[in-house]
Amino acid sequence: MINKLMYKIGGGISTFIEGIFAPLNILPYAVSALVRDKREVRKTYSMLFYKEVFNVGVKALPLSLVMGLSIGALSVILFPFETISFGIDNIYGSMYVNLLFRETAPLITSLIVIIRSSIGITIELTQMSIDGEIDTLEIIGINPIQYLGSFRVFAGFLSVPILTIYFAFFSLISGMLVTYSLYNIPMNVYIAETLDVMNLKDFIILIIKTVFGGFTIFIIAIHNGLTAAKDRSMVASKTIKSIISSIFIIIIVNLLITVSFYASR
Amino acid sequence: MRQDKATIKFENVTLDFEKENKFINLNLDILQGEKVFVTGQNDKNRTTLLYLILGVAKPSSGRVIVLDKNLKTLNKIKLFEIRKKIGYAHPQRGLLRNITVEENILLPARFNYSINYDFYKARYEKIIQKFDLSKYTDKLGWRLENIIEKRTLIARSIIHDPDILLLDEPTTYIEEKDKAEIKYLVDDVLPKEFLKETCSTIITTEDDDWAKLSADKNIDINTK
Repeated sequence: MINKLMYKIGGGISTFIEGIFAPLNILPYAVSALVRDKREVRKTYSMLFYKEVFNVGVKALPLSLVMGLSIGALSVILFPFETISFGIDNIYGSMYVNLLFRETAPLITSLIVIIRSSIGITIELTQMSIDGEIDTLEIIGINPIQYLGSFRVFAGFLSVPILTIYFAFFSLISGMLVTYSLYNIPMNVYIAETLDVMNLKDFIILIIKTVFGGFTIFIIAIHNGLTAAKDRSMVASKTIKSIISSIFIIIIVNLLITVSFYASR
Repeated sequence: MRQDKATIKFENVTLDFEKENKFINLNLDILQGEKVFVTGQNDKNRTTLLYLILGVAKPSSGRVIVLDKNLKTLNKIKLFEIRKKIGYAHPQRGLLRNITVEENILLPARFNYSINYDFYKARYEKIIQKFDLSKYTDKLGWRLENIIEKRTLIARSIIHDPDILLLDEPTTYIEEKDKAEIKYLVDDVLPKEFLKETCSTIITTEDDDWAKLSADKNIDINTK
């Protein structure tokens, strides 16, 4: 009885751990695909890679721009600067760097990419699994992870940090304009205050967060799509699983990075 | 050079599938350059024989040896390497739907790093000309007539100059008038223009007359 229970608990733990680490299988294929491509002077991966960068990065720019502008403006409009200053001299710059640049920008950009790309990739790959296209690739000797996964992971790696920088830039611009119109703070003062608070460490941590976010979102989406069973209900269940896992991991990791780098001050 | 060397060997292969014996103690040798027809009434069993060669189906007992490798001992990566040396044409719906005919045909070659780019590019040009596919190269995989899909599937199976060619029901799912064209491609165009002398070809079909006329060897799975 106890043996059976222990066996079940052990099996459950091992399945859970395997489930967490299985998506990482994609990484070695992703790296070897790019190296081979360069060695063989093939354009296949490069072509697919640029197409995906266009899908993930370029097509998401308008949404990133709108979100950046609106969140930058709203944060200034809604924050009661007249009554609360936390004893900080340059409250405008501090608020932008602490709230928007360090936390909101990577998080919102990751959410944009999850909405735009992760859902799309999970649905596309799940549908391919259901239609037998993944089986077709395997039968003709092509590893589906190599063909469908690797370039997407690197597209995420490249696109998410760039999108985040776009978001941060547009939120800075809109915050600056609203601060000028509401509180009559000159634009050069706003910029100077912001640069005064921001340092290289903030920028490096932002890149770490976004690179991790890009990898995570795409690895989870690809893994869920490729492991779907041949059942129509998989489209919904795998997509939901992909979204929830990505959001959960990104929030936790962002929090951990922030706490470990900034909480000790 | 064609030799009497077996490219595929079945040694006492038994396959139980869904509580049913599909094959019991099947033994066969397919030699280099041989053209083998697999006939018999059950199309699923015919296809299963090809799946055993591809390592998609695993025998319950016995050994399937393909190109000197026992498939049972191969991991997934090694199995992909073996499959890269095999050309397989699905009976239908074997194309990737969202890429073009050209991309579909080139797939096995593009991901096979032992093949030279210039070689497969030249071969592709020749294939689309001989298979009369030049008008369709930009069309997506899901927008094709059955006969065009069939020709594309066969074209894809030979683009990488395989050591073994598996044609799964090449004359099914097409109109009667198109069957002669596919038979002509398989019997004349492929061996003369595209397949190396040592390439073994295995064709599953329900057309016994075609098998009798064209086969070097005929395997009737009803008797296996």
